[in-house]
Amino acid sequence: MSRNILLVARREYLSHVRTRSFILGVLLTPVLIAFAVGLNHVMEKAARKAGKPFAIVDLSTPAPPPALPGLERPEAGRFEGTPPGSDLGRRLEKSWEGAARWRLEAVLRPGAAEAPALLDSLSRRTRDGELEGFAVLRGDLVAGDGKMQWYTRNVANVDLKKALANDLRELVRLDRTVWHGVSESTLAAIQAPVLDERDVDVSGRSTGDATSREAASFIPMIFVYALLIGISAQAQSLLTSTIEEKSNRLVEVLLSSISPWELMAGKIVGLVAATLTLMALWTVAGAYMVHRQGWEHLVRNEMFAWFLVYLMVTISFYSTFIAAIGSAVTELKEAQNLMLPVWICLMIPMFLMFFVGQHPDLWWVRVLTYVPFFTPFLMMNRLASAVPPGPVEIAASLVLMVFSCWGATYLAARVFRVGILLYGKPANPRELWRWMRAG
Amino acid sequence: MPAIDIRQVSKRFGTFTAVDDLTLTVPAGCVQGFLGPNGAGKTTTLRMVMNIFAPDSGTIHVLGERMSEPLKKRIGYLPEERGLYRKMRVLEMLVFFAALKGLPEREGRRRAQDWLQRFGLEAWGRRFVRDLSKGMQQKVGFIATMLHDPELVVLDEPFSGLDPVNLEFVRDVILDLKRRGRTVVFSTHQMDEAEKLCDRIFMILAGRKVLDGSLDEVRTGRDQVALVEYRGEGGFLQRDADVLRVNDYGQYSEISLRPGAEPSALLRRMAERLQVLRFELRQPTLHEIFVRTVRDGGGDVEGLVGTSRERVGG
Repeated sequence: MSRNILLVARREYLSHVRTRSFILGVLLTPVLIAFAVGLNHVMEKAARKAGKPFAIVDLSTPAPPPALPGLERPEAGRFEGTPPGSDLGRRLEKSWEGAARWRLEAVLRPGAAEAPALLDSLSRRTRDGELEGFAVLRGDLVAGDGKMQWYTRNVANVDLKKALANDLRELVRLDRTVWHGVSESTLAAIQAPVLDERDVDVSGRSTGDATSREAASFIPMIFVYALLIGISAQAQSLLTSTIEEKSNRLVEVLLSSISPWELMAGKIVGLVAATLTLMALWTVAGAYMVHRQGWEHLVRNEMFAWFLVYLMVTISFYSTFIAAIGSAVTELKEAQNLMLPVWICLMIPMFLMFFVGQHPDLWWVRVLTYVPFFTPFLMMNRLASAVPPGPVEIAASLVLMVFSCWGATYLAARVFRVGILLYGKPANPRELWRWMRAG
Repeated sequence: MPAIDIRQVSKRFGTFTAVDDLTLTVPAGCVQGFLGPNGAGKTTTLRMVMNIFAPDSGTIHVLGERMSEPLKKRIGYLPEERGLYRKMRVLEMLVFFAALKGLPEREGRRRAQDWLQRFGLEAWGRRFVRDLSKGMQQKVGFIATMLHDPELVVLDEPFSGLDPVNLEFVRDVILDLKRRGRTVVFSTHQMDEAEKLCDRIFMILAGRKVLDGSLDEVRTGRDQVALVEYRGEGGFLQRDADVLRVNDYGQYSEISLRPGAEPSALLRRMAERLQVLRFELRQPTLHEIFVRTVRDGGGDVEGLVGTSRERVGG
C-alpha cells in the first residue's frame, strides 16, 4: 500500500476515532454490557417493588364427589386429603408464595351474607389503586359450570389474570380427573409426552434444552443485524467526509499532492479501520457477556472471529460504492437517491435472515450466498445457524469477496475521479454508469 | 527550461469550451499573472496545469516534465477556497499536508512551526482551524502551500477577500518567493497587485489568450493617457481628433489619446482655450488595458477589482 494511502487513512482514522460519537460508542460498550447483564435482575426487583397486591375471593360451592366404582383416593400430599374442587383459593395461595411480580394479599372465604360488602370494599380499593385487582371463584368449578372472574381497573394488563387462570386450570384439571375416577398416575400415563425434548444433533454439537434452541434461532439474526449496524455507521461517515472535502474544495489541495485513487483508497481504509476498531471492542464485549452468562452452547467462539472477518469485507465492499456516490454529489441530501439501491441490497438479507437461519442449506440460499452484495450477510447467517457451511464454502466466499472488492474499487475509482471535481447538479445513476464505462 | 509550457490545450465541459487552443510559456523564476474576467478560463487552466483536470487536447509540461505523482511534490498549489480541514488542529494539518508532499513527519513539524512563528501564529498551532479568523486561515493556507519549499507555486485568486494587512502579507510571500528564484503563477482580478508583482502577464478571455508578455510588452502600442488639470470649459476635448476618451473626475481628467496622436499638439490646443495647470503623460494601467481588452473582445468586466477601477470610465 502506498505511503499516500496510509497517510490519508491515518488522518481519516484519527479524525474519526477522536469524534465524540466514537468515544461515546466505546465508553458505552461496558455500560451496555452491564445494563444487559443486570437488566433482568433490576427489572424483577423493580417489578416486585412496584407491583400491587391482589386478592382471591373464594365463593366456590363444590359438590361432594360421587361414589364412583374404582375411585382412587388422591395421593397424600398432593390434595392433602381435600375433596376435589374444595378449598381452591387456599390451594392457589400456596402456588403464589414468594412470587416475584405480584403479591397475593389474602384468600378470602366470606359467608353469603358478608360477600357483597367484601366485594364492594375490594372494588373500592382496586379503584383507589391499592390493589391490582381481585379474582372471584363462583359455583362448582369441578363438576358444574363455575368460573373465575377477574376484577380490575386496568383491563389491558392481562399478565396477572393469565398467570392466575393457568394455576387455577391446573388445579381444577387434576380435581376433575379425581372426580371422574382417574388417578393422578393414570392421568400422567395419559399425558405422557410423545416427543423426546433432547434432540440428537448428528454433527455432535450440544443442542441444549428447548428454550436454548429457541434462543439459538435468533443468534444468526443478531449477527446479520450487527453487520448492518457496522455498514450503516460506516456509510454515514464516509458520505459525510467525502462530501465535506468536496464542498470546501479540500479535494483540490489533496489532488495536487496525490491521485484520486490514493485519496479514495485512503479514505476507505481509514474508515474501515475506525469502524472495525469500534466493532471489535463491541465483539470482545459480546464474547465476554456470552461467557459470563454461560451461553457458549448458543454462540460458538469462532463466530466472533468470523463476524470481524465478514464485517471487514462487507465494509470494504460497500464503502467503494458509498465513496463513489459521495463524490458525485455536493450535499448529503442529494446522496439519498443514489444510496437507495445500496440500501435495497442491504435490506434483502434482512428480509431473508429468519428463513435462512431455519433453512441454511437450501439450494437457492446457497446460490444467493455467492452474490457479492449478499455474501457476507448470508454467510454470517448460515455460520450462526444449526447447519453451518463447511470450510470450502467459507474459503470460496472469502475469495469471491476479495475479487469483488477489487472489482468494485476499480469501478468506484473511475466514478470518484470524475465526480469529485464536478460541482452543480448531482449526477444521476446513468451518468455514474457512463463514468464507470468511460474511465 | 520554462516552468510551465502549455501547447494548444483545449478543455470542454459538455458544450461549453472553457479553454480553447491555448498556448502559453511561463519562464522559470518569474512571477506570472493570470488575468481575465469571471468564467474566462483562468482556474480551469490552473487546474489543468495541476493535472486536476486533464485537457481534452494539447500538452502541458511543468518543470520540463509531463505531470506525474513525483512532480506534484515539487509544486505548491493554493485553490481559491483555500481547502483546509476545519476540524483538525493547525499544526497537525500542516504536518499532514507536508507529509503528502513527501516531507518526513519530524521535518514537516519543524518547518510548520518555523512558518507559524514567522507569521505570528505560533500560539495557534494546537488550536482547531475552525477557531481561526479568515485572515489567519489564509495565512495557514499559504503555509501549507509553501512548507515543502516548492519550485513552482500556483495560487488561484490569492488576494480575494483579503483585508489590507493580509494583502500585504500575501504580497510579501510572493516577493520572497521571487527573491529565492521560485516561479509563482497566480490568477487575480486585482490589477494593481498584478501590476506591482508580475514580471509577465497573461490574459484569457472566453477561453482564448488575448494578452501575453512582460508588462512593458503588454503596454507597448497601447493608447497613451494624459492626466490633466485645467480651468475653463473643456467640453471641446471630447470632440478633439486626437482624443479617444475623456474621463472627467472633477478635480482632474484622464484623456486617452488615439494611437499615433501627438500629445504636444493637444497641449497647444488646450493652452489656447484653457488655463492648463497640469499635463502629465503616462502609460495605460494594467486595469485600463484589461478593461479595453475585455470590451474589445466583447466581454464584460463583472467582478473586476482594483484601486484604479473607479477611475476608469467611458
